[in-house]
Amino acid sequence: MQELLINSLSNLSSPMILFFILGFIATMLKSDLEIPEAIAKGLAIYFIMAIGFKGGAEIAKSGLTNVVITSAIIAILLGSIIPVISYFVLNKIGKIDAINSCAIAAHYGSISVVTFVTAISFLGSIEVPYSGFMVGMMAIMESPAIFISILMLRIVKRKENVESRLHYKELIKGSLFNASIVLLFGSMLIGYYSGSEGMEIVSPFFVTPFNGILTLFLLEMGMLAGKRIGEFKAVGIFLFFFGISMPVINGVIAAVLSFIIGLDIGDRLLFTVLSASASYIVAPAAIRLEMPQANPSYYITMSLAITFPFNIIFGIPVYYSLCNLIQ
Amino acid sequence: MKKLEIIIETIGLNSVIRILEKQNISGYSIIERVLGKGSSGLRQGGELSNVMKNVLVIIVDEPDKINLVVKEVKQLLKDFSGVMFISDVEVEN
Repeated sequence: MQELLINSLSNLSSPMILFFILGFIATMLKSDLEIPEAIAKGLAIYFIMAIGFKGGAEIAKSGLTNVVITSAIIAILLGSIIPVISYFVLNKIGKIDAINSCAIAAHYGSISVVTFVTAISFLGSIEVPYSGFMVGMMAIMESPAIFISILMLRIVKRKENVESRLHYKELIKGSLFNASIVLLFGSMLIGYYSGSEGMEIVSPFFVTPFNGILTLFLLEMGMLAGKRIGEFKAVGIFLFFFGISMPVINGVIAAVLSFIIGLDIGDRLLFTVLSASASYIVAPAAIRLEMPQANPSYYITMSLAITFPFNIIFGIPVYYSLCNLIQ
Repeated sequence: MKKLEIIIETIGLNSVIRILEKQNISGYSIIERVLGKGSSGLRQGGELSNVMKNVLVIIVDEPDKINLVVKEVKQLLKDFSGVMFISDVEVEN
């Protein structure tokens, strides 16, 4: 308990989290503070390249082991069961209609890159190592939930005898070959082939300024979260609590599974964070296309303005203590 | 000549382009990041996925062709937020 408190307090004093809060407050105060959209997108590209390259270079050092294959199986399993559990909680307990339940479930089964990056930064601050292959697990966990949710909706719709259309081409392009996955796997491959020497060349750009650049991105994320506060009324109390309790439930499942397969504490935290996070870039685009009847105010507000702030401010230290507890 | 302006959420742009290609529309212009307010509320962006942003597609062509496009885009607007404006125009090159 004491450790949980210390971790939580040290996380609250981290400049990344404080800049996130600043962005949030600036929006609340209706300040004209703005980060140009092109810069925000550029920063997102930077993080994907940096963690991809670093992950690839570390795999080159450690080699691909059986643990990687077991982890990949667990990653697919988590990405597939989380949307199913989420759907049942939303539809059966929360009485949310089937379409919105499937749409929200897809977001909670998928992952958030920035939450993952913030967790890596947290591990760095407490000097706990993690494996390079975990970056690959992030990529693996991005899409299964989207496909599972679409499948669930088709099953429900078939029962209701409602015709549904599927945009196969765009769905596969958007979910499997989207910018983040192509860039992440590409950067991992480049990092793998250039190894430690390559890492030395790019580290002044990818390693040294990493945390500083993260503060700038989290400032923008704070503003984006702040802009969605007006939608809280539409979201309602049940979905608000879902947004902070479902990540913890998913986190517990991931913490247990990653412990069973014998991962180290750093990797277990990253698995937990990946399972607890909700997507706000890839999933909204895919779900808007496949489930146009679902309300985007629900899923974007929940993942961006409820689950993301909860995870980076309170979630990460709580999940770390949880991982320490399960052993 | 008729001018058709389609404001549609960004995510529906590919479907509009497919209709334009199918109807052999030889040229069109696209203006990205169109913000504003309509029947589906404020469309001001404010997220990274493009879901809350619109685009504007401008097409100028023969009335018959424009009518065919309008008919198909109308179907599309059952799923996506958007609106169409049709007007008479003169074209100078």
